[in-house]
Amino acid sequence: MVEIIPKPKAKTPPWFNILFYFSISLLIIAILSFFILNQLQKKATFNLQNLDELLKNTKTQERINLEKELINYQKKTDDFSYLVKNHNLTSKLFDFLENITHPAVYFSSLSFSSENGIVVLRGGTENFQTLGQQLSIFKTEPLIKEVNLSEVSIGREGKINFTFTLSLLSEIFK
Amino acid sequence: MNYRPILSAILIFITLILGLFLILPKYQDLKSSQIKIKEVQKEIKQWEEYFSNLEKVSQELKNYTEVLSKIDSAIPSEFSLPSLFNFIQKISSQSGLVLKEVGSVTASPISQNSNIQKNSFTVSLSGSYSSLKNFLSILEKSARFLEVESISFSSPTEKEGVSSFSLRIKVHSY
Repeated sequence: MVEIIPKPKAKTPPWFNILFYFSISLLIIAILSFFILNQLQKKATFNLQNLDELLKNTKTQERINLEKELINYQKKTDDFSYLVKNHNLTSKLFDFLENITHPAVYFSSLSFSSENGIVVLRGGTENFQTLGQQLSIFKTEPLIKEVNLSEVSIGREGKINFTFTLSLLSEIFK
Repeated sequence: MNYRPILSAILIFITLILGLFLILPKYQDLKSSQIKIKEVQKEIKQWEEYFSNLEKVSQELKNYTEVLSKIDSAIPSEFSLPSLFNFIQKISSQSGLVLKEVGSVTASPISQNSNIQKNSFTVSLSGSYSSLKNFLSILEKSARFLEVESISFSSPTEKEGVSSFSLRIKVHSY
């Protein structure tokens, strides 16, 4: 049977269209994003290459030589400081001994080693009293760690011969 | 029949696939490149600051050339035996002593990890006690940073009239 009165067209629900256009937009955005990201990535790679080149140019041969030169100077000054710190002035030994030697005592020989700070003094004096006084001076001297008196003998003219072994503190030589 | 819901679903699916396999890796690459750029920029800045500081130090060092030359002479790179012995002879005659003998030089590093060499040698001198003190004073003040390691002497015999001194001297070099 022929329909004389046409049926009204079935209406599409509006969310069908919204969803459709939304999905198209999403796809377009995704494609655009890909191209934008691709461009940004290319630019970033280019920048990175330039920066790598710049980094290489930062370390020029001239600058590296300067660095080596200064490191060498630093090493030298450190070594020099070490030597200054450990430098001993042996000449001070004589002033030190002259100041603490009894007027009636003389030393005929001296042997000193800075390695152990030991000085061996052979000498003579008039009597045991002055020898005792000298020993006492040495014992009361704070810069002398240890005193050892040995080889005490009476000489031809009644003089007393002796050997002192003194262990000295390194402060004397600074 | 309305195909829009099916099309929408397909488009969303394609967008998701694009996002997951193209856009997300691209984004991650870009992020990683940006991080690298920042790191390289930071590195360049640090190197620039470092070299700029080195240049400042180098400029400042120009004001201390005299001190640096003293350090160079205290610890020379090349150890010259003849010039050292010449110096010893010069200062011994300057202080009133007679240089009788110079022993051979023994070299050894000052410590296990150090590249500073200690060069020791013995010298025999004759003269007076005051001349010895002068000699030591000049020796210790010298730019070569000489140091007496050991010293021994006896008072002069009536026949000789002068004392004989035996010294072990050390000097440093690289």
